[in-house]
Amino acid sequence: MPVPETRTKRGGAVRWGSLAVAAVAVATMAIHLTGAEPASTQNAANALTAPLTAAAGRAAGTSPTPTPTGGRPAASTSAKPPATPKGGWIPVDKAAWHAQVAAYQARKVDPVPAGVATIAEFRADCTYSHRLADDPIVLPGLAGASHMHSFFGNKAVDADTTAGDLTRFTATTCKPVLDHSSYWVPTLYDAATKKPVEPTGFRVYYRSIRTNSTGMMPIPTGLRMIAGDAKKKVPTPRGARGHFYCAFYGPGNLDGVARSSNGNWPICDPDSYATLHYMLQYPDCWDGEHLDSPDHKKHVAYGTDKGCPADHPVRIPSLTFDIQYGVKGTTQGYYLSSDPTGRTASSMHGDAFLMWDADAMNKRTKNCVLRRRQCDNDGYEH
Amino acid sequence: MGTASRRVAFLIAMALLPTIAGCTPEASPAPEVVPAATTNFGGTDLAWIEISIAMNDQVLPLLALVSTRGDDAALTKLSADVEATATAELSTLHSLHDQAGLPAENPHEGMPMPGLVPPEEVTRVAGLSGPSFDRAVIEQLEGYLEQSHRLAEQELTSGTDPQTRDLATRTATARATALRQLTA
Repeated sequence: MPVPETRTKRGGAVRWGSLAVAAVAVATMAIHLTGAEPASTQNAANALTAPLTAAAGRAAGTSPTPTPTGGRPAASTSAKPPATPKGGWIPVDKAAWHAQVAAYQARKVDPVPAGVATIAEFRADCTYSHRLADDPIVLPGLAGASHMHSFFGNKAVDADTTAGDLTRFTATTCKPVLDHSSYWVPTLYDAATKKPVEPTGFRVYYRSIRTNSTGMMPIPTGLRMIAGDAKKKVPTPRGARGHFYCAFYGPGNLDGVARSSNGNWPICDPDSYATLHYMLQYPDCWDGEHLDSPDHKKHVAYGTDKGCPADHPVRIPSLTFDIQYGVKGTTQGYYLSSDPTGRTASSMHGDAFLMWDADAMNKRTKNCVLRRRQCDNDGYEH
Repeated sequence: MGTASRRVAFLIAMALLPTIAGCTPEASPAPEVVPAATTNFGGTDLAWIEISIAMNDQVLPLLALVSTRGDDAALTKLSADVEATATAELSTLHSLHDQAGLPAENPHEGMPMPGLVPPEEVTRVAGLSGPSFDRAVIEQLEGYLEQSHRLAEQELTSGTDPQTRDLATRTATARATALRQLTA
């Protein structure tokens, strides 16, 4: 194994820790997939010291392989104004998808250097780009109609952005620059100052969330989707599901050493480097037919280790937004633009309007996710 | 924060993923019947129909308060006019909504978005009286009228469905008139 990242004096320990945590993560995921209640967050954190197990690389299951057919190309989604079929279903351009699949299948796997971990993922690391009350997925063409969003990636995105625009205006805050996608989340505000708190880190993982990558296909160019529920307004006390947590090194106290006065937000240990984080996961199966659906969710679904459901047969990398806010929490706490009065964290959600250089997406999906070798922004991580 | 530490933060959170709302890996939704027919409705048309339904739905309870509580004759008259217009528009909007095959649940109802009168604000205004009642109504009404006017004009810029654009034309005119009366 090559020398681990040594940006800190704890570099070696960090690398060891990350592998151990990987094992815990996989094991916990497996528990989840069988429907069992996962261990408490504190237990999960304590389990960081668990020995590394051979959790990865289990026997491959079966997954239906998509059989894209040629045929008449559907209307281009890059036309402006967009012609959308009934009810907000946007069909994929079958000819374009067929070409993407053909290029993917023809692509050779790049040689894997020694020491690359068997973690099926690649990633884009992005920084905050801009803030607008726009939503080109939910409210296309209607500037200022939405609650405030913080945008990452493609710098030119506003309410009028189409899939075609993402290929024409490609300046981005992401690495690699071949990722022309736009990602956005509701803006977080400090409840005391009412000022926005923009993320200090925004990483998008594209990964397998299963024990095998059978039938893994690249994400179709122009796919749009939403994860989370902007309308959800339930309290997010210590231990709640889907809340902000404290993280930096090691286990720490993920729920914080204290909570905001309303209980919904953690306060991170002042004697640690921990700051607020949020993790948002997207589905790993696609219907093979639509780039968007009326609720921006129905064209994608969650699969299992055995593959994808029959109505969403195409297995694709699952996105995870790993969002870091460089703040430690306050007594007054925070609120999201999607719930300024309730001030819970449960309305957290994310939008992804995906547009990669097609070969860059194919290369990464094949090398990293299909073949289950860990990649960073540009290639194999080693 | 360095790459290695970010990785640790991520992996810790990965262990937590099962606790994250919205993660339902076992979910296997019922087969969706996908309408095959296409229409003239574009993305902006669909979005404008949905947001306009939510905006009109949420302004009506506020206007209903004015009809029984208002003591400013001009405001009461304007409020009644806006109420009649919004109610008539809703009829057309629901017709367009059904033609477009949009989902029954409105994604914007109850959301904190510009021009949507919050239900809790209606409750608060209901507890006021006299000039403070009028001021609160005017503030909310102005927010609704301005945003509705702005979005109708954007529908006219980016919308493609003739029926929807026709309604937007009438909406834009009605809002401009109401705004002039409100600030007169």
